[in-house]
Amino acid sequence: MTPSPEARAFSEMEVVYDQLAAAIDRAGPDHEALFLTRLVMVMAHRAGSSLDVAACIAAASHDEERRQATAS
Amino acid sequence: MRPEGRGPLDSLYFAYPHFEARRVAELDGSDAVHPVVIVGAGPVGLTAALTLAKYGVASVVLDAKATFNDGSRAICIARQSFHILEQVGALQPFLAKALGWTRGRSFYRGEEIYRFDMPDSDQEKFRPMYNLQQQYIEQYLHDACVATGLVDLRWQSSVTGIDSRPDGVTLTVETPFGGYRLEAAHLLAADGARSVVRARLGLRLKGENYEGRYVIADVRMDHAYPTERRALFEPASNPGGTVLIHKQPDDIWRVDYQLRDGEDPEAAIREENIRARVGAILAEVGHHGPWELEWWSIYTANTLALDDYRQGRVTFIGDSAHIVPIFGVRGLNNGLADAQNIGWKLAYVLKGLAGETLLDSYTPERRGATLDVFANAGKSARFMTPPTRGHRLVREAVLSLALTEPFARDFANPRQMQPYTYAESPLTPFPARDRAFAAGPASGAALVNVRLADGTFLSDRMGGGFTALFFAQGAVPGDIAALLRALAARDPLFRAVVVGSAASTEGATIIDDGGHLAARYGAAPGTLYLIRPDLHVAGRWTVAVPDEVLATLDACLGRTP
Repeated sequence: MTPSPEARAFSEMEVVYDQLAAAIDRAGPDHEALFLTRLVMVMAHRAGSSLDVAACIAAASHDEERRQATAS
Repeated sequence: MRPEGRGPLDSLYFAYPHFEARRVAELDGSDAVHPVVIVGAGPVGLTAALTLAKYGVASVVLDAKATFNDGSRAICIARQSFHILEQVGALQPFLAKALGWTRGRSFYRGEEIYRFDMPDSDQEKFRPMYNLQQQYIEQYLHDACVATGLVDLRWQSSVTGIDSRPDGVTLTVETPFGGYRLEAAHLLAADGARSVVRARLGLRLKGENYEGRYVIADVRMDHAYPTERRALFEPASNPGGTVLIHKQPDDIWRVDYQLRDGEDPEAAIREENIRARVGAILAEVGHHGPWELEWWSIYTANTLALDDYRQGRVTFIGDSAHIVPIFGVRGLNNGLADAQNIGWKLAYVLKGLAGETLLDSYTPERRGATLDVFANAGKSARFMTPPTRGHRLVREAVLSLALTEPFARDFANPRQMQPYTYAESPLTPFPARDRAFAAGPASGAALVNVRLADGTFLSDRMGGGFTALFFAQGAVPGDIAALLRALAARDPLFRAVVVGSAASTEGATIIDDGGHLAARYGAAPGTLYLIRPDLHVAGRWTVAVPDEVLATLDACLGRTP
């Protein structure tokens, strides 16, 4: 998998953690899925063509697949 | 709380002593002024009394109870606190009983996602962390206080009134023999989170309360698992809530578990509910044998502190001054550091070795440490008890990603206690000198320990007062010898430690022929470190500048130039 060009430092990831939590709260439970989908679209656009979006989707889906495999 | 049919002090493993009230001289009209009165005989108050006693300063300790605190409460003692216990002469029973540990593991839905090993090496005298029930901590400190002959312990003595003046404090004390007035030149308030002294002075803690409650429960069981900190996120036995597990001496295990959102705390602490949840958690970690319920309690995470830890002649130490979330195990440890900090300063002032302005450094140093804890513990608390749906979702996201994505694992770091550096202290006037060093503890930092060639440790060589660590090549130069004499003239407890070679340095205190100590301290011939009584660095110079060294000691003795 190709990571994004420069990985963020963990301290920056902590900031992202708090910003994301606050933004999800602002979106509210009825709109959070739409908000998060829009966020990914914006981030994919701004990250540029070097970001392998398909690989990112696979990485984020991994646990979902494991969980479904365990449940079935 | 304890199971049905057992009183609050009916422990499975600890015999609580009963301390009688004594008929004291004040009841018969004595109005003697005590140099120091300490309110609260918990770990922090007793450590303050021991620190004062180390310098020959007597104190009176008041406590409303007739024995130690019920329940194990604060169980994690950090390395830096072991150095404090050693300095006050209480170390041995702690070393004999406490369980040292270095490792923690975090699990998500039963799978290990994070493992940490706290910094440790053969250069350290003590392990990074030790587990010991609080009542043992109090017992050992109490016994050490009695051994000094300088601590007047008064149990069953409640403070009901306080009159604070610029030159002293008058307390009203209630006892089974009646009430009396107690005069103190200085008062240390070590009376905990619900401090009566703080309330009577009309002072309030300020800060944040976090959502989320944790139950803490102790069980006795024969359970084969090393002394490690286990954190279970989203365990099947407590869905929606985190679980922490610690081993304690006497086959006692601490189980902390977070209550689910909307769970009624009053119902949660009923015995049958405690037993059901704890039983499920123990089964999940593979314990299927018998276990006995010992004690339980409930808490919420807070970051609260006083704006100023001193109010005239009253100084707040420990939980009376600050309340921190328990996840970083800083409540007890920061309290002990408070006690040590004010202890040596007050002793120096009372013995006439330092000016009273020295006490002004207590709040910036120790409140700085609290704010540092808040910065870390706040993050930790947001992770351990997510306050909103957004935080819960992001936490769930990073924990589940941590199974496969290494970058997400650091979010499970519990940010355990590290010693605090007094960087902005009035007692470290030459921090710019740090820039010339490539290694070693900076101004304000805690001593970095080193194992010496003879198997002892650098910390063993420090004196009870200030210590100068001078790195020599050949004989000690004349100007440095004069400096060391001038330092000794200011501080009768001063100790000069000369690091040199066996062949050429006459009177060397530490032989460092391999240069091991010098390398760890970034030292060359001529380098000098000035170490405080609490083993923090007051200043350091790659090449000693005598005027600056003396000025640093003067600052540390509250002497204005």
